[in-house]
Amino acid sequence: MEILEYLLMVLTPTNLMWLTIGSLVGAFLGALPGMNADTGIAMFLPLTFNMDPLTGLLTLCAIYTSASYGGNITGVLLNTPGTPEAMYMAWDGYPMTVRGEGAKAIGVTTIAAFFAGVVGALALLFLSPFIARFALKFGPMEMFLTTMLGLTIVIGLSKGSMLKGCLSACLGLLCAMIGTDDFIGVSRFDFGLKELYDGLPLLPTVLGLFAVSQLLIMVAEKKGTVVCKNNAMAGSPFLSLVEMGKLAWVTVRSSIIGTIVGIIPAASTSVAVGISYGISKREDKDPDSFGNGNPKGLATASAAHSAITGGSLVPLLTLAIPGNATAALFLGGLTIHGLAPGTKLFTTDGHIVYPMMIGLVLAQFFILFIGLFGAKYFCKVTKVPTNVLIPIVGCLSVLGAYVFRYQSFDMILVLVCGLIGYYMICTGIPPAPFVLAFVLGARAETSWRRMATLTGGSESFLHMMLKPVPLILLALNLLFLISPFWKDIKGLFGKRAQEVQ
Amino acid sequence: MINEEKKGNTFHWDYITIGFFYLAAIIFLYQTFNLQQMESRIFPYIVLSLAIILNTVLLVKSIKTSPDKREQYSFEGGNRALYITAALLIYVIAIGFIGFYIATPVYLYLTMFMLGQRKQKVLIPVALITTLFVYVVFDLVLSMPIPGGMLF
Repeated sequence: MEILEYLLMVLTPTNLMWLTIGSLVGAFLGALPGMNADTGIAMFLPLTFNMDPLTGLLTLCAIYTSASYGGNITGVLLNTPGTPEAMYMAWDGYPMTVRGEGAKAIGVTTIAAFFAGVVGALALLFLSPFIARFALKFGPMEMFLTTMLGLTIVIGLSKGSMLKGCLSACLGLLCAMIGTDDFIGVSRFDFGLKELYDGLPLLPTVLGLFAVSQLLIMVAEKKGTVVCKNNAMAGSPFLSLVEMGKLAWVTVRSSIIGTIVGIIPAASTSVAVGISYGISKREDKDPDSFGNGNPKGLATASAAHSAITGGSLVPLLTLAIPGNATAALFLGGLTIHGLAPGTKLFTTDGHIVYPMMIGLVLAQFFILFIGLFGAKYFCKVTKVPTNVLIPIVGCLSVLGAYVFRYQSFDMILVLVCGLIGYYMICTGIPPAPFVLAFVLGARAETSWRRMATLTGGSESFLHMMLKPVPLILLALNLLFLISPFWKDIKGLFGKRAQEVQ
Repeated sequence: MINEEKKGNTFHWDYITIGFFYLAAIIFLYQTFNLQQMESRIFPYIVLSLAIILNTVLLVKSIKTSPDKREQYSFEGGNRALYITAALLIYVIAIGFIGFYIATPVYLYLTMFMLGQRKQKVLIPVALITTLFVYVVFDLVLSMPIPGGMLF
C-alpha cells in the first residue's frame, strides 16, 4: 500500500511536468557531443534549489537517466556518440544504420535500455533499505573507512595518472575544509573573504568544473556540427515479439551484470559492457558478427550501460559513496535539499526518497517514449551550431551559480573553477577525485575527529580497528589502491624469484 | 587534448602543475599554522603532508622521465578558450552595472558573433529568446531573483 502512496506522490502534474522536462533536456544534452549527464545535472542543480525536494530530485533522476540514453541515439545513427560511454552502442548500432536498419537499431537500444533501467531502478528500490540498515551499525571508524573507500576506489581506477588522481583528491579535501570548522566554530582557509565563511559553495564549484570547463574545451577544439542523414531512421523502431524474444536473454543478463557493477563504487561502464559483451559474444553461434551490426551486441551494450544508473545510486544513498562522478553531483542535489545519505534517508526522509526511486522507474518510460517516437528529432540536435550553444551554456552557468546563494562572488567563482577544470582536463589531472573528495571531505574529517575523540589512545584505537567490518574496509581500501599496480608488483616478484634461482 | 610527443621539448606542463600544488600547499600550511586550536589543524596537516609527498614524487618522476617519453599536452585553441572566459567575465561585471536582462542579450549576440555566427536571423532571435526563456523559467515559474545592476 505504501508503494501505491509513493506512486501517487510522484504522479502529480508538477512532478510529471518536471520529469518530462528533465527527460527531454537530458536526452538533448546526451545526444550533443561534448555534453553529458554531468553537465546536465550541474546545470539543473540551481534550478532545483527552489523546488520541492521530491520534484527537484525527480528532475535530476530524469536528466541522469535520459542523458545516459541520449548519447545512444547519435552513437547509433551517426557514429558520433554524444557521451563517451555511448561508443559501445556505436560498435553494433552504426553498422546496422549503414545497412539501412537505423530505425531497428534505435528500437533495440531503446528497449534494452528501458528494461535494464527498470531493473537497476528496482534494485535501488529494494536493496537500498537493507544496506542502509546495515550501515546503521557503522561507528566513526567504519564511517571514516567507508568515506576513504569512496576516494581510494576513484583514485585507484585513475591508474594512468594515479599520482595526479591523488593530488586532485588532496586538493578536493583541502577545499572541503574551507569555511567554519563544524566542531569548534573556528573559521579556516577563508582568506578573509566573508563569502567563504560557510565554505566553498558546492554548486558554483561543480558547475565551473563540469559545465564551464566543457564549453571551454568545445571552444578550443572548435567542435562543429554533425549532420544526420535523412534516411538514417528509415523504417520502424518497433520490434516484433519474435525479435524481442531473440534479444531477451542477453538483455536480462546484461541488466543484472550492469546493476551489480553499478553498485560497486567507481566501477565504470567499460567494466559492465566489457563483461556482458564478452559473455554474449562467446555464447553466440556467430561471434564474429559482434561489432559488425549484431542486434544482440547492441542490446548487450545498451542494457549493461543503462542498468548502471540505478545501481550507482545504491552506494550513494546508503553509504554516501558516489558510484561515479555523476552520482557525486547527485549527492550535491541531496545536500542542497537538506538530505543526508544513510539510514535517516530511508526513515525520516523516506517520504521523499522512496517516491524518488519510484520516479526513477517511471523515468525509464520516458526513455521508451523518446526513443521510439522522438529519436529522429533528437538526431537533429547535432545541427545546433556550437557557436550558438556555447554562449547559452555560459549564460546559464553564470546564472546557475548566482541563484545558489544570490551572491555575485559565485558568478566569478564559476569562471575560476571553469578555467581550473579546463587546465585539469588538458594536463591529465582527473577532476572526478577532486569532486568526490570535495563532497566527501567534510564527512571524512568529521568521522576522523569523532574517532579520535572516542579512542584517545592506541589501545582503544586498536579495539575499534580490530573488528570484522573495519578490517574488511581497510583491506578494501588497500586493495583498490594497490590493484592497478598488481601486475607490476607480480612482475617484480617474479623477476626477483628468477634472479634468486 | 593530449598530443603525440614533441621531441626535444624540455618544457613540460607538469612542472606548472607541480608548482601550483606546492604554492597551494604553502598557502594552506601558512593558514594552518595560524589556527589557534590544535584539533582544527590535525586533518589539514595530514592532507597537506600527503599532498607535499605526492607532489614531490611527481616532481622526481617528471625530472627522471626523458623528454621524448613524456606525455605531451596540448593547449591548442586555448586562446579561444581564454577569449570566451574574458567575454564571460565582462558579462558578469556588466550584470553588476546594467542588470541581467540587458547584459544577457548583448553578451549572447556579441559572443555568438565572436564565435563565427553571422546570420542575423539566428543572432537576434537566439539572444532575445534565451533571455525570455530565463525570465519565464527562473523568474515567473521558479520565482528566483535574477541579478540586477546598479542602473537597472
